[in-house]
Amino acid sequence: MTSATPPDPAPIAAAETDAGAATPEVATASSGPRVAGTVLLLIGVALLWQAVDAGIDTGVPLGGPTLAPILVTGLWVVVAVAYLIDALRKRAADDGPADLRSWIRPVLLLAALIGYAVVLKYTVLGYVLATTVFVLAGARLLETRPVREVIVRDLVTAIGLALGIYLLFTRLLGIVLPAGVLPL
Amino acid sequence: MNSFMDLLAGFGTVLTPVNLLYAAIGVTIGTLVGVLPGIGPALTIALLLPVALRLDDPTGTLIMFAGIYAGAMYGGSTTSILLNTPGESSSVATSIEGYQMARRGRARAALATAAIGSFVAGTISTVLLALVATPMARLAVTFRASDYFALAVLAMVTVTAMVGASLVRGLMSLTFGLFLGLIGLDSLTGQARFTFGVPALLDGVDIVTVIVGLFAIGETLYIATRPRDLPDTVTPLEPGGKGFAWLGKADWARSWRPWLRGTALGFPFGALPSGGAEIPTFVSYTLEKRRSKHPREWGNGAIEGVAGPEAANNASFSGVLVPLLTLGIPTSATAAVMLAAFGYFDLSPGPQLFEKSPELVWGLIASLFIGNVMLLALNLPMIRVWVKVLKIPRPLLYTGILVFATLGVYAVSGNIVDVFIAFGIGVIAVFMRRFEFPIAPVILGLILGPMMETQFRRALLLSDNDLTVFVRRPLTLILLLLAVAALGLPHLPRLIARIRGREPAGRLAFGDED
Amino acid sequence: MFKRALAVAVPAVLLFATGCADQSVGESPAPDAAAAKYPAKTLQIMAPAGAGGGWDTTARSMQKTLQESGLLNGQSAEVRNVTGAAGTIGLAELVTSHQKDAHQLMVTGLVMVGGVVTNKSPVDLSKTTPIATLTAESEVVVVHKDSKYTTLKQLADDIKADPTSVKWGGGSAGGTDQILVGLLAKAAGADAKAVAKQYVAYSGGGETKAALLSGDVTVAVSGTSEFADLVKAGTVRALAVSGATGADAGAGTPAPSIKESGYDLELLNWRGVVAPPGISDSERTAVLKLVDDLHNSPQWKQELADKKWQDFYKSGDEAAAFYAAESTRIKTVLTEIGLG
Repeated sequence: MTSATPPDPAPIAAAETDAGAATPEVATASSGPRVAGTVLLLIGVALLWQAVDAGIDTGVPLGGPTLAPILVTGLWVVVAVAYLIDALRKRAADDGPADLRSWIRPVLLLAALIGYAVVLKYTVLGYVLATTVFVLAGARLLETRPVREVIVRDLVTAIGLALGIYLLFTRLLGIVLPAGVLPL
Repeated sequence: MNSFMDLLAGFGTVLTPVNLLYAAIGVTIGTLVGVLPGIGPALTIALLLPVALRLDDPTGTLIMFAGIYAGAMYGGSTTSILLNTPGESSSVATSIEGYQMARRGRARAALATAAIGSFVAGTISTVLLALVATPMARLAVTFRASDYFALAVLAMVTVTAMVGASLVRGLMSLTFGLFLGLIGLDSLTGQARFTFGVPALLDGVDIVTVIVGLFAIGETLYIATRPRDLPDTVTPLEPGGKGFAWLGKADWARSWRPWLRGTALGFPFGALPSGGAEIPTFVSYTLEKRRSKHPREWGNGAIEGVAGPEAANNASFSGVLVPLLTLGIPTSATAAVMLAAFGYFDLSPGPQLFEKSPELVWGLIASLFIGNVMLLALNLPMIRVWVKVLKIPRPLLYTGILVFATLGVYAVSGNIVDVFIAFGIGVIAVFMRRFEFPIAPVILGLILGPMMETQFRRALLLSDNDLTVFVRRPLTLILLLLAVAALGLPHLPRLIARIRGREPAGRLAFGDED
Repeated sequence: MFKRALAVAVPAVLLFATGCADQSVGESPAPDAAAAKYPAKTLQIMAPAGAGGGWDTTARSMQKTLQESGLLNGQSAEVRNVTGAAGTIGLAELVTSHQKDAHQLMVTGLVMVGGVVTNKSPVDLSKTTPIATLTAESEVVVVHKDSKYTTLKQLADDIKADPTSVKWGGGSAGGTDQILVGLLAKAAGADAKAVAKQYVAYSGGGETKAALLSGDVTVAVSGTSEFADLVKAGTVRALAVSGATGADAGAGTPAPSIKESGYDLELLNWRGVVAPPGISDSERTAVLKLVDDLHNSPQWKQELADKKWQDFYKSGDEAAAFYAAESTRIKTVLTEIGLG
């Protein structure tokens, strides 16, 4: 990799001290893989514990149902350890510092999704309204352009999608969607 | 010539208006999802299962699913050539030269060599499938539990060997899949494992739920972390096209050999456990690059680099069907969902399927020929339609996928808990993408793990706990020895390269989907 | 714009199939009025398993017959699938979420009775309002054509002498097939637990067939229809069927029943219908009448013939007594073979 502009030594030095990186190329070391490895290891140990526990209760015969859980969760722990060691050793350079702001959209989207499922199942808002609202919200969360540029497009699609599915399925295929406050 | 008669009967099955319609719907949806990023054949078939069950027509449904699989292979090339964003991971190799051709105003030639190559490869490989199927099925009748166990081991080893970029991350994905496969009642004793007191988990985690979570939910949530990275510019098609079917004389001359070589690579790789389509496409790319008489064009739009991988891509599909139909062994994520579809219809792929439902098996095989013709028609003259499809605003596309994912899972199970399990797996998938864990091994672990465990324990049970059952039968022993040999498979391209004295360009690795 | 919307909507329509019909909106009429004209709103029939299975087909046949024979009082019927754990998830939902709602029916069967025991389900069929049994299928015991067994007695004598001498193949653990093996071992005077340990569970009839033909298992147990084509082809031999009397298992001549072979045992894979707990007596009478009318309709007779189902109708108190007796018998045998 050659750069068109000569590197400015000052920021690199600063980054080096900040992140404690061993080489100038690794300006920022993300802690992501290390956290992920630790979480994986903890889950693995918990699952292995449960598998061994079940094995203690009933024994672990070769042809029995308790052997495979111990083998698989054992493998999980071993692989998680290998991954963690890898992560600690490499201090892998990541695509920038962990930016918490990049997680706002997916978290909101997930919340919208859960809300959508809950509304469908437990309330009388009904499928058509719920879907229209969800499509609008989802499209907004994935969109980077300003609202006024896309709002007409989004509205038309959201209503069209919800109504289209509703009419085709209830009228054509005889499949019933959750009815709600609308007469549809 | 028994196969020939069977195949004729198969054409009789498929050439009915209803089945032709299923085939047409299948290849159209397949092309559509192949063109669209974010939604692949595995996810599509998973979401279509509830519709399919309502239709109560296994033959028509499986013809449709096969059409989706094949169509996605065709459609994927359009996206990789015009957008440089492969719709499917098996189209990655195509995008390298294909996008360069498009940028130089040769998009039509690239699309044509991809489509015609796919047609040639699809047709030849389907003939091979028809020839191989009956002998394979006849052999499979004699398979016993220990043989199936050995086969599962072979598949598992090759999956492990191919996980690619990072062995550790690939193994972690595989282990996650194996763990998901353990959840639920043990099939042999009915004992609950890892159900955490949740009744909805007693039946295990449905493959539809897992695929929806991994692909639809995971992909969309991941996209949401970086919405600005969504590609939006489509390379315009140049006006008109020269030569026959947009290919000039020189293009035909440079394309036909790569088509045949791609076919020869794709079919056997597809049939191998864990074969899929990524490996043969990269091997084909490497091979064509090495053989090329125009080395300077590579990187700037060499037509061989499109013709070979696309042929390999499509030929691999018929290959995938060999173990799926005769042994019930899926070698790719999409094949795994198709296997689940058989299960929903209470059909077990394997030798019994050839005995019990010959009209289904041969109708399916015959439909591949018909589907290939349809796909050729869909992909060349109608290319403008697909270019328009590429312009669907991504935010709406992904939100739509979320709606179907949610409704699809709920429709299959009727249980809201399954929807939340899919969301949970989706969240895990976001982190898997963030930290570059491959997705496909999860699916194969989920399918192959229980297969391996169950057959191992069945073999032991049937032999009164005698472990020598795994070495006494010659077939079992051969398969287990093959598994040992398969550990060396990932080093194959390097070996070939060393023999030929060059470095390989592509590496053997699993992508996210086939 | 339209094309964009269409491009989204078309796959949408194709991708999405069944609804999420959960809410039954509308006020419940007074019990007496309900009895007078039942159903007074959309009738919900729950199939407590996935689409395509036996319960699902039964529920959809009921829906079809009720609508075609005009028994619904101008209302419609909907089928909805709730999968999981041999139907016990659907059972729990019926008992907890739909109490006192006479417009919620559920298909049930022998497999659920077994599932309640093996899954240690907190609710069982006694918590529901039994309505009727509708159909039944006999089980068949088959061996490979080259097997040394030609009668059920030879097989029974062998397992009595050595319970491990016979390897059995059939459907899922704790299901109808394994229940039959356990009951058969008991009737033959063999060690039921030791015999049931030799049972290998397969997922689906195709796998069981393959295992019998490859020689993995000695004997296969399954629903009669599953092996009919192989019996007809002469590839396998039917030793006995599990109904009261002998029946044709595919060979063209009747195979003897287990009872006729000298063992006091009858087992049918029956399916029926139940209502939620807490419905009033008049509502119960109305539901019973509806199912009675369903059973008597020519359309239902046609469904039975089309689906090759055996008519097995018991309703009201008779059905309740039958459910109770089956529950006791199945619980006993499953506990004895170590699956309770």
